Amino acid sequence: MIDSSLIEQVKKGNLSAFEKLVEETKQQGFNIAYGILQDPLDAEDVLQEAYLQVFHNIRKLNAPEAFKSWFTKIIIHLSFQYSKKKGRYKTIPLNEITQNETTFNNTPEIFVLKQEETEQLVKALKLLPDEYRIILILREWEEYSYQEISETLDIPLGTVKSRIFYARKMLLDKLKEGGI
Amino acid sequence: MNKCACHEIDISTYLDGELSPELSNIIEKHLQTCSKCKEALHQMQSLSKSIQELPRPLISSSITMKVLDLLQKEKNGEIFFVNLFKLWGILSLCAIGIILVSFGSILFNLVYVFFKNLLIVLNSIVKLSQQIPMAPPNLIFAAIFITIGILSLYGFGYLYFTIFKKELVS
Repeated sequence: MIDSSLIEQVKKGNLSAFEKLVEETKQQGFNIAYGILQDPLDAEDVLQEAYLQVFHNIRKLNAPEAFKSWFTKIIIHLSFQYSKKKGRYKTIPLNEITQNETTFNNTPEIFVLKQEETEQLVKALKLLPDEYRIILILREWEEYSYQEISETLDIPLGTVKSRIFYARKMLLDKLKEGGI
Repeated sequence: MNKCACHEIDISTYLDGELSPELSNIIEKHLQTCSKCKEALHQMQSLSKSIQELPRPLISSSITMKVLDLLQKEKNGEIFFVNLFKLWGILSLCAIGIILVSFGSILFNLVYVFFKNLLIVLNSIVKLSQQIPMAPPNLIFAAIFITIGILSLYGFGYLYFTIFKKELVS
């Protein structure tokens, strides 16, 4: 949760407050952009543009508590715009990205098996339609509540429920089918 | 969908802790007896865990500096254009002054001729329109022309503001 006073300071054009805001929100924003674009460099470009828009338009934000959903909206909008402009989804090998999990605690066999499962899941996620993938990323990576997702994506609560369910179902079906 | 009373969509919502307490109780009781739903919950749970554990790249630490640099560059650019416009304003005032002093009388005559002819044209249009009978088809045409006129005025205004106002997400 972002401090309301920090938002108020950014509204006044305080650059050090803005710097603090960027520091606090950058990884969350990056995860969302990366979830859509699947490319860390593209995600970083989008995030930079998103922060510029935040700085120029934050005065329009009446309720500081709405910052999270407002910021997410900007990132989602820019990410889709960016991917439309590029007209493709670039992929990067999994070994090129920094891994958060401590996979080396496992034996080599389990490690390979886990890596294969991860790759299958990543591929299945990429095959999901945009509106299903983004909702799953908000829920599973950023732990958004259904209400927050509904406000961020401007869709009814019932649609959030059904999209999350169908996204999971599609993923499970794709993983069961295998051969992705 | 399962053949039992429970829907898989409710199991997904239950997994996320987004069901009402009453519905959650019903699902919990149902899960004790229905192996199919229990299996569905288990599958969704492990899928959810796998997604959460997916490796994600870490954002580069330099992003904050990059954003601040971009803001600074923007600001410098803005200052340059503001100065340019200020300079342009002074220059254009000087140019208008020189033109007015040198060719003032010719310009006045040109403007006078233009407005005189404009008045003549407008006068003829009004006279012509008075000769047209007030029949319903003519009134309909007039209404259509007035509507088109208003809409095009609105259209030009909208176009002007869209071009000159930077469209941003709000």
